[in-house]
Amino acid sequence: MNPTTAASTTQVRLAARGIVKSFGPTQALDGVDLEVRSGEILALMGANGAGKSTLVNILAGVLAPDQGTITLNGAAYLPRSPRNAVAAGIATVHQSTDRIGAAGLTTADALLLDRFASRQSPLFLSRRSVRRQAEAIIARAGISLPLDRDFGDLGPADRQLVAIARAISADASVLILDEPTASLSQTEAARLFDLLTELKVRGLAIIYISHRLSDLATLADQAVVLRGGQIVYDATRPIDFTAAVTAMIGRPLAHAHAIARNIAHEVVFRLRQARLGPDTAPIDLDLHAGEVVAITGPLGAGKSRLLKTIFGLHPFASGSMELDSRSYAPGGPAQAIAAGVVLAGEDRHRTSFLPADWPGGTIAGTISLPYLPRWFPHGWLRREVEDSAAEAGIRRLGIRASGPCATLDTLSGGNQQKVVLARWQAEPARLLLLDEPFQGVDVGARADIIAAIRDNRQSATLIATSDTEEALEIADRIFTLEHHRLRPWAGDNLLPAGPTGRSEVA
Amino acid sequence: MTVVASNPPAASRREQRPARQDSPRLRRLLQYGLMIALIGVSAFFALMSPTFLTPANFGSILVNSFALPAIIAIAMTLAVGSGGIDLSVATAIDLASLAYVSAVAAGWAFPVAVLAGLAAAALTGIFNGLLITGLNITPFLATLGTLFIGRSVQQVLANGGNPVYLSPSKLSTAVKFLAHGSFLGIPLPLYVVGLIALAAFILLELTIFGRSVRAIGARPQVAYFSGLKVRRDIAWIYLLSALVSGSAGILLSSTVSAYIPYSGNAFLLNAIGAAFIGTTLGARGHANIPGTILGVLLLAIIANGLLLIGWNFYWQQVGTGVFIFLILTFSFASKRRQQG
Repeated sequence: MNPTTAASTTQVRLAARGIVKSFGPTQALDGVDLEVRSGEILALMGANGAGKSTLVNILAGVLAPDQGTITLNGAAYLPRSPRNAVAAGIATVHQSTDRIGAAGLTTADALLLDRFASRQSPLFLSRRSVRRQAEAIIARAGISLPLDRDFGDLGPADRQLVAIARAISADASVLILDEPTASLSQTEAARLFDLLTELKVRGLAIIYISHRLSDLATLADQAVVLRGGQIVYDATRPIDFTAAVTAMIGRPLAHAHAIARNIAHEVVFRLRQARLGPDTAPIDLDLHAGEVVAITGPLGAGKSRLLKTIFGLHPFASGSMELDSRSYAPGGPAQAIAAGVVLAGEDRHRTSFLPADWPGGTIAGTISLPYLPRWFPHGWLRREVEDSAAEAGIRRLGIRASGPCATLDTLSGGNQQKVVLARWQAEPARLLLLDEPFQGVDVGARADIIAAIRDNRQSATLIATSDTEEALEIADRIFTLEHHRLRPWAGDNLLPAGPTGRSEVA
Repeated sequence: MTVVASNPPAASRREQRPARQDSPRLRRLLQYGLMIALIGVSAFFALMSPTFLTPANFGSILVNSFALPAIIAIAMTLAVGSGGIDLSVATAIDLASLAYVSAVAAGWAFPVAVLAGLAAAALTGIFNGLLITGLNITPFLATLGTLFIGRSVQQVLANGGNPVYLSPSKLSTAVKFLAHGSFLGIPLPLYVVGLIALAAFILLELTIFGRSVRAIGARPQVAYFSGLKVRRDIAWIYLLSALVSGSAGILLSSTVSAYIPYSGNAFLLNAIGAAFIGTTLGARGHANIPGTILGVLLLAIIANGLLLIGWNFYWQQVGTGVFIFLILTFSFASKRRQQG
């Protein structure tokens, strides 16, 4: 861009020294040093509870460190609030993009929200001036967005871009991205990577958190691994990700993809000529006991909708379902669950968890919620029944929590997902439906979850994921759903023999 | 003189704005926010008026301005706890009162008259349940509609909205005992409040119904995805709310020996206020029976205290409003400091 760019690539933008943070008896961060230079992408890695979120929250002004100092562009940096952090030039794009805007606002409005909230904004705004300013913002970020579309109709990829464009328009010098590709398709992720590379060239310092090694391998100039609140691995390009992952989970990761195995012939669930919409192609699918089937495909292809329809949230336009050779047509989730068909929804917080300060916001309460009438036929809650079910789940899946009464907000993404799985495995089910089960789940927890899913030999499992690597790791059979049409992804009964060009971890 | 060796700026910052989960002490203190408000307000009035702290005055507060509002606030808490609101508690009170008084006037036995009152109240609850779960009308609008309809129904049934008085000769001993009797020195209406509060507390905290209802109140979609019978539970909540309000109507009519049209309206705002004060001032963050009871007590003490210190009657409500603002401001300020 200009001559200063070359000089500034070595300039330290953000430096944290000796950061310590504890929550009660838990030491979340234990003397962390971190440096991010302008024009570099730093990959922040770590298993569940390693301290990544705490570190990000401290940098973003959400939490205050107990000890340690932070400097930003050479000056002391002590944000008192997230807003303070943004004003100082540190913008954070969180995994959940719900808070960026709301339905009823246009994309242009969402882009300008920061400006509306500031005092510089005039009281009355014409549609045209909003659009003009929004156009300037996306032009500056070098992206394109449907400005007149309602924000509620935007997909996660576009929402992410809105957040990033806003960060750039706020003159951020450090950009923190938490699991940005978790809900993106591969094309969308590629678009994001182009943008990040461009921002890097412009001199931004980027902290990138992800559990996807292939993303990190593409982007990262430096990798830092947190474990138990300390930095256990720190390397610059070329980065040995095998060593990074070993440092991260404390053991070498030894798996490629799901081992081919014999599946029983017993058909658990059958889909016959089922159409998601009146004009879409009919879908036929047989699921066997103990079998794990994955459906991949781009966002909006109907994966979620297929799962939700099987769960009784919508009706099929036509066609029929059979469960254990009997006709199955649930009128809603209650009937589906009673029949043994359970769904772990895409957004854990919107489909499975209650707020921490409400009754039932604990691990025990989350696991027992669907089984209340079954476990307590006389209507009286018995804590010890709930707690022992939760303890069994915590043991079986290796959930890291203080106990059955821990609230979900104290758990990391991977442990939260394990709680969801513990819930749906607490009672024998016939068909387990998992929608994007690895969102925000790190490599270590992922292996535990995969093992727990594949060990289940009684029920069939149907997984929707936009990530073919994930599908390969877990599934016995893989299908793709595109334009509501279901096709086998690689043969019907066996997996491809060798690695298929994906980035191998071990 | 000891010098604290740890990093002082960091330490003081930590005290100013710790994260939510690492401040059990402040959280515990907030749990008693309502208690602190109650004690503070009481201390204020005790200083201002010598009669405030007398047993006679407290007896008067409990019987005259606590018992009935508490029952209605409990009904409100059921609805608020399920994520809704019940504005038609007033209708349930009035219809129960009208049916009960008419039955007593017609010479029906006391238990039958009580059942008639409760049945009338149940009608409003069933109507609300149908509107909310059948027609998917939001609780606020559904119960507001019921409140309007209830006024017309009363006018039609009570000859243009005339009071119905019970002559003292018609009052059975049971009715008199319910309204004015006492047991072990404690007035009977307080037993009724205690029983209803205990039942509601047990229902909300110790049963699977209570857990389901709270799940629906917190995140309806999570409840639905978890297979809870959302409609059924919501319908029950509005029926229970109406029955509890109806029992307040019966108690009210027994006390004044009459049905007075639209008398339920006087309790509506108080009940909403108490339920939300109980929600807001507690650390729990959701409607709960103990919080509501303390909220009613707080409002009753404020009304009584303002009367005692000689505030102009017309300015009473201003005083109540100002007190609510002061208490909530204090509470939010301490919560903000806690959450940073």
